[in-house]
Amino acid sequence: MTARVATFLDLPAASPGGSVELFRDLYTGTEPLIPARAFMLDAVHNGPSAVPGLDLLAVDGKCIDEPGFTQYVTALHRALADVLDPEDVDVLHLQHLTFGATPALLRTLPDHPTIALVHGTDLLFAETHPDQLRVLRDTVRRADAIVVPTSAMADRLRTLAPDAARVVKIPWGIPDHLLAGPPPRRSSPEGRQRLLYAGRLTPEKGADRLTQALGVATNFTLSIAAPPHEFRALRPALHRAGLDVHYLGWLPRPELWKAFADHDALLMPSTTLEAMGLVALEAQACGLPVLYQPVPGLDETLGEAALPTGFTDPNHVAANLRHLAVSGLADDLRAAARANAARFPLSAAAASLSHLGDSLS
Amino acid sequence: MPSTTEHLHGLVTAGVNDGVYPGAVWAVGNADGVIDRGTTGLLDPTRSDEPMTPDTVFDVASLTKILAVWSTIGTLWQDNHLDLDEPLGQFWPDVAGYPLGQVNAHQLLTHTAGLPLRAQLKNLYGTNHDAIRSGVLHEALHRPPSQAVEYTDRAALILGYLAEYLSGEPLDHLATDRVWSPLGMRETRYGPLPTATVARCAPTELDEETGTHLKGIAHDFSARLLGGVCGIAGAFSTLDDLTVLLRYLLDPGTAATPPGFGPDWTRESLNVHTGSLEPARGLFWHPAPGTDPADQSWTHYGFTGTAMWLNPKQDRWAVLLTNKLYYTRDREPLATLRDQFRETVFG
Repeated sequence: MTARVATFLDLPAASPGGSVELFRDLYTGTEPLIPARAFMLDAVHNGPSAVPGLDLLAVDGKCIDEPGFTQYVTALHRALADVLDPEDVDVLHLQHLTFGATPALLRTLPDHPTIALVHGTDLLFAETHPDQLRVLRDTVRRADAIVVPTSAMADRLRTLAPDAARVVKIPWGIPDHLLAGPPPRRSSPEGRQRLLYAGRLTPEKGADRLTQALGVATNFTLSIAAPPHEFRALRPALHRAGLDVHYLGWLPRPELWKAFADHDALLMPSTTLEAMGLVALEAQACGLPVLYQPVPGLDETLGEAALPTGFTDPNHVAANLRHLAVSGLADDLRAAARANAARFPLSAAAASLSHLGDSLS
Repeated sequence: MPSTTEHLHGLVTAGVNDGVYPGAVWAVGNADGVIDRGTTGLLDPTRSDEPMTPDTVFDVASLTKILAVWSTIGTLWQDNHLDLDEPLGQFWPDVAGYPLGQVNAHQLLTHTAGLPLRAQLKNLYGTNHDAIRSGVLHEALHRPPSQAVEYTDRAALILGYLAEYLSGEPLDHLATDRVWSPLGMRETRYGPLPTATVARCAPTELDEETGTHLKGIAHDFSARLLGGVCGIAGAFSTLDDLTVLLRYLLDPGTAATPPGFGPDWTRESLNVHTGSLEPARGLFWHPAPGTDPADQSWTHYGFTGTAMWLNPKQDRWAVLLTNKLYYTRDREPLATLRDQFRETVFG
């Protein structure tokens, strides 16, 4: 019998980000790939979740550092204890190892086998926040298995938690139905290259670089799909750089996939480790060439199937865009993109996680 | 006013470029008609072939409180079917003997009734419409009436129920028959919208259940829970229809057929009725934020990103319809832009 999972992501249900999408892809829905009691935060106390299979916990006072963190974990623990029956759970899937949900889940079900799934944000925060580094190390010590999506993540984890043992690499994936039926590509009526940035506009994603990176390129339009408050914060810099930007909003996945099909290239100017780069893989599944900064994680996931680009050098960006526009490179990259994305079906990730859970419980 | 016009065009377009909303439709005018108007942006930012147009239909959210509730309550008042100062319990059996029975319509219209601050209809009363109605009408007060001005959706919901009780008609029928049809507001109606109209409706927030943005279905959760029709929200309208209403409020002579309420109701409503309590309010209308009530710049906003202003002193009205909820629930970016829009129009 498949192990019954309990898992908890310490974020409000509607939060943006790849981790949230992955969490929902794996554990929620009417027929989840991994049947689970899946929890997120109900930030505004809206009552029952609109997402099937997702339970919301109405706990206030989220924080990531002391003082306050211990108290917050206690509040999460109490909320979990009210709704989780230990008898109904075989294995814990810990997400975001440095934040409150993980110690709360461990405190609620201390004797259950645990799989710790390392996301990118955990490691980035642990590098700069002592309290979160402590939580990361505690979690790693207690986990029966630690899952990373790329070797780059394993390497970074070991620099932060040298005694991490039982590290298993299970690449994350993108929905099988996207791979089977991506939206049809639509060509440009204008003849200009349609560039797309999709994701959070945070420093680690290279948002600041974006404004300079396109300084030399010509004959393009830039669309941005990002959270609204982050776009508004970046907008003055875009304006100063003279970039004419079309803002798409923070799109739900099916609409984002359609946007992929309506553009000619995805830009990923990340400045540091990317856990996996799921947004790039989803773009590739839709036949969209990707220009990426070859940071750890992304180079492993994308490799030769996308175009490594130095986003700190506007001339390099312009040269790559020109090359993409006038040579047969775009067709080659589209074919390579689809083939690369097909290596990462989410069902395979779910099956591997379930198999690992069965071996522990 | 060439410089003002230019400024308004730039201001509203900047809202698109700055990611405040995907698109907007606006107009400024007086009793005689439209002085200037414009459209900018897209219905849906992912569909570049669907621009905002003057006939774009908007989910106007809380403007429903004016379009449907304020107007029909005014009609009942004008017809002497309703005494604003009489405790509801004295003529409305549904609330007699309950805390709401001591409240009067005037307090509901000024948001001073002491009602619970949040609707929370489903959590408190379930999904049955009768149970919700009964629950709302029998609910305890959050504080004694006339002590504080606290905007609540419940005030409009209760007044909608009251209008239905006094008229014997559902609120949508009452509003259509007595207000919208006489004024010629042909595009104003409660949702869900018919299929033929949905295509030119501005989408609002992402619906988690369907994974798409709401379009032609009211965003307001209470309105949807109640089948689309209630006093809180749920109405859809267009720039032209709101123009007709606002022109009528400035000059009753502009209506081909007068609606059920007349200038007496408008005059009564566009006055501060909250004494020393803050913030000052008229009857459902309120002085625009940042203005002195003596300026006579009255307004009402809708959560989806809609707004209308009315200034009898200056013989001027303004409408700004956006679908900012497509992007975010954050209030600040649109609040700032609304204030700039209002300052440009009314000074």
